[in-house]
Amino acid sequence: MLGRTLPVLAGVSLLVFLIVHAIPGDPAVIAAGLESSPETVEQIRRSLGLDRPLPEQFARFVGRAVQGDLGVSIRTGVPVTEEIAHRLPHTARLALWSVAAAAFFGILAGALAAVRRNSLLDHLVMSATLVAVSTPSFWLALMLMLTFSLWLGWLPSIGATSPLHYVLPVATLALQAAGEIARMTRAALLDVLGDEFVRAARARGSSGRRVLFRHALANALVPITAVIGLRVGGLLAGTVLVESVFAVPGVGRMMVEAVVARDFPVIQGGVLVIATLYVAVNAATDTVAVVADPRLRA
Amino acid sequence: MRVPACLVPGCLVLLAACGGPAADPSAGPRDTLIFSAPADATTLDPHNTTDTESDQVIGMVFEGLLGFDDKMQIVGRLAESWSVAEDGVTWTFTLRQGIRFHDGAPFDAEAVRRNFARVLDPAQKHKRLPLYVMLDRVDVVDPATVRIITKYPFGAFEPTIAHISSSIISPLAAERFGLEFGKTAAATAGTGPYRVVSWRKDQELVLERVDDHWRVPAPTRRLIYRPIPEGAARVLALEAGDVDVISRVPPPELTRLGQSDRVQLLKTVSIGAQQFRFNVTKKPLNDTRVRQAISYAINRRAIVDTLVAGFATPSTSALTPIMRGYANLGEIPYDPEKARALLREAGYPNGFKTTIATTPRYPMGVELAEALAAQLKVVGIEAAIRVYDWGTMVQFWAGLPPEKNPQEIFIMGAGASTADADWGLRPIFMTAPTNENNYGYYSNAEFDRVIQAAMRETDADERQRLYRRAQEIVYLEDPGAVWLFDNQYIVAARRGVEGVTPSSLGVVTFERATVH
Repeated sequence: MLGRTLPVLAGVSLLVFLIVHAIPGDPAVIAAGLESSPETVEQIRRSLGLDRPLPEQFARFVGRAVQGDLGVSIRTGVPVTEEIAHRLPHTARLALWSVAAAAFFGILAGALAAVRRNSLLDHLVMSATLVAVSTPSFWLALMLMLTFSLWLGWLPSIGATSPLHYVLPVATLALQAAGEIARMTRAALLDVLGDEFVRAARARGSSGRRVLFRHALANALVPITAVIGLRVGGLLAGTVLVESVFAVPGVGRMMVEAVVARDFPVIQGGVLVIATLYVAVNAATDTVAVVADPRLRA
Repeated sequence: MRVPACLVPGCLVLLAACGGPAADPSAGPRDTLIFSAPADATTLDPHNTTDTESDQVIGMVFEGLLGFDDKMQIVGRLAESWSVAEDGVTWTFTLRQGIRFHDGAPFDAEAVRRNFARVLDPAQKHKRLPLYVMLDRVDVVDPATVRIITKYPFGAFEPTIAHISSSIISPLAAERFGLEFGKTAAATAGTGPYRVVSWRKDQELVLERVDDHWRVPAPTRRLIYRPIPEGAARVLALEAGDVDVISRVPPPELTRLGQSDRVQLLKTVSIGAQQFRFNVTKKPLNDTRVRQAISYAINRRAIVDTLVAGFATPSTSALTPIMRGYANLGEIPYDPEKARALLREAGYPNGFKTTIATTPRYPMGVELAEALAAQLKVVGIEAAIRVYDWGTMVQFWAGLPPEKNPQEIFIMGAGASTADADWGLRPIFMTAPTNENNYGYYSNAEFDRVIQAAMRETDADERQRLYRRAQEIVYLEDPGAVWLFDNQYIVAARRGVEGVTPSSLGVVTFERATVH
């Protein structure tokens, strides 16, 4: 587990470091502001260590990172770990609830469609999932806000101060993933429902529900968890946008502002944390897959 | 209200998750006002601020010796009275007595001295140091009198002391927190009508009224500053009643909001103007006639009417009317014939090819560049548009020598934060070896002479005469830019919010605000 994670994180760090330094834009200049003098800019650049050679800067970043020090934000002067610590709970909550909602509604819809195959319900669910996977989340976010905050007045539009505030952002994030999970569930279930062991179970007189849950769904779970695991990456990427639109003070929004300001330490630290999360979630889904499928236990 | 059909799958997911309708208790005056801008403050240290979002909060929490009123006139704040000696360099301030900082420290002459010592201390690495290069020293005469001495007579001394970065911070907190001052709510203490009680980054910053404040009894007890980065979301949150006042209204929304019965638009002229500057080292922009031709080829009225829906006024000078030293030189007429004639005279009868650099960071930045290019095409100038993000754009403006800067015509939304001609012209157009602030390498010997004379001129009439001459040169005779329009600073407020005043500096004054 650790043996696989560390090289991934080291690779991510190096890549981000290189990308950040390759894109044009000087953080010292941006930090100094447009009305300041070149001396101020030079002073800021020196104090940030940006005048040092790149390999030295990278070595310093890695050396500190392994001790849990991700440097200090150029824009705010606050340690990056502190900046991330405030925001990570928001992003984690958002991602977690979105995965849960997407998995619940996705599997439910997919199972319904598979059981009532070729019925009107099946067609409805499948068209709905098609719309879900094709709806741009930026547009969806504003439409949800317009409908539920402005017209109906049921939900707060922006912010993150109560559980109700999370409903619209979670819905925005979950919709696309739910659509994909539903389609995958339907396909996997149909595959399994045609198998002989299901027919055998039915022949033994097992109830329809028992066949569906105990036999079919359990066997379809492997491809479904794989899709969920992969979708988490998309969800984390989606938080960048959703947090900006709904003004959720999370890591994604921090990253957007950091990129605009070329706040190198925050970009590097943020990517590192998100990459760690992604790796952890995928390790977790691998574990779930092993539990679900005895064949994977070696 | 009908829901668009395409939303239905979204509702399926949602309905299960949400409970009953949220209650909306609103009757009588409320004690909290929620304000929303695109970004959070980055610092609450007045000596280190360079962004409007930070200025917004700092302006509510701190005061300076002097300040600007709603009409940008200079007024006494912590100074009761002030005067300048015959020598033009010795300024004496009589301070108000009995004022305390939010942390209990007394405000006196020593506090003032320590503040300016902090601003000038190179070890503090304050970003605002360039504003104060004319400062020599600050002497304490007695606890209620302080003398500020400049190195030379400086015509823009008062606006500099009224500038937000001249705000006085608590010497006690300054000592206690050092470089950490202004980074958290607890490390912030001024004398303003509001104090900071909590600050959760990117989420909310809560200010609470100082009871029995010496200057203003603010009617609203709490101000909450809640940043929303996305313009469309900011407008929706306002219309839904989740916030009371928003800044930076997206221009395409202005007309609709102006007619809304839930929202009011509050406007004031800004210190900022939207312009496209010339890099005068690039051929053929080095030719004065070519720059004049470009200026005549632009239909400013059409741009103002279509792109900003009339929420701006065509420029009449290199400065905006609210600034000290402004001279009205009139709108430059749209005259494509004259533009063609000037191009012929300059040796470009068939026009030429050039580029326009822009960034979406400025409202309508890309659209403005497109409009400009389309209008230039009429007189035969082919301008290709290059769109950069802010970080890249600033890179071009960072002290590069001319040969390293590829920009030719480039967007610029400039506004001098002292609202004075000196800061609005000197750093930007005076000859400089690199483009440190003179991003287009503008250089005109007469302009340089006039600006230097005006800078040290303390006689108001003579100063005005010199700045008028400087504007004639850079606006008409040897243009340094195409000035398009003077911005208006516009905020949108829910109906029922009163006493909110946008200031020309791009911040909102809430100290007299009430919310119903």
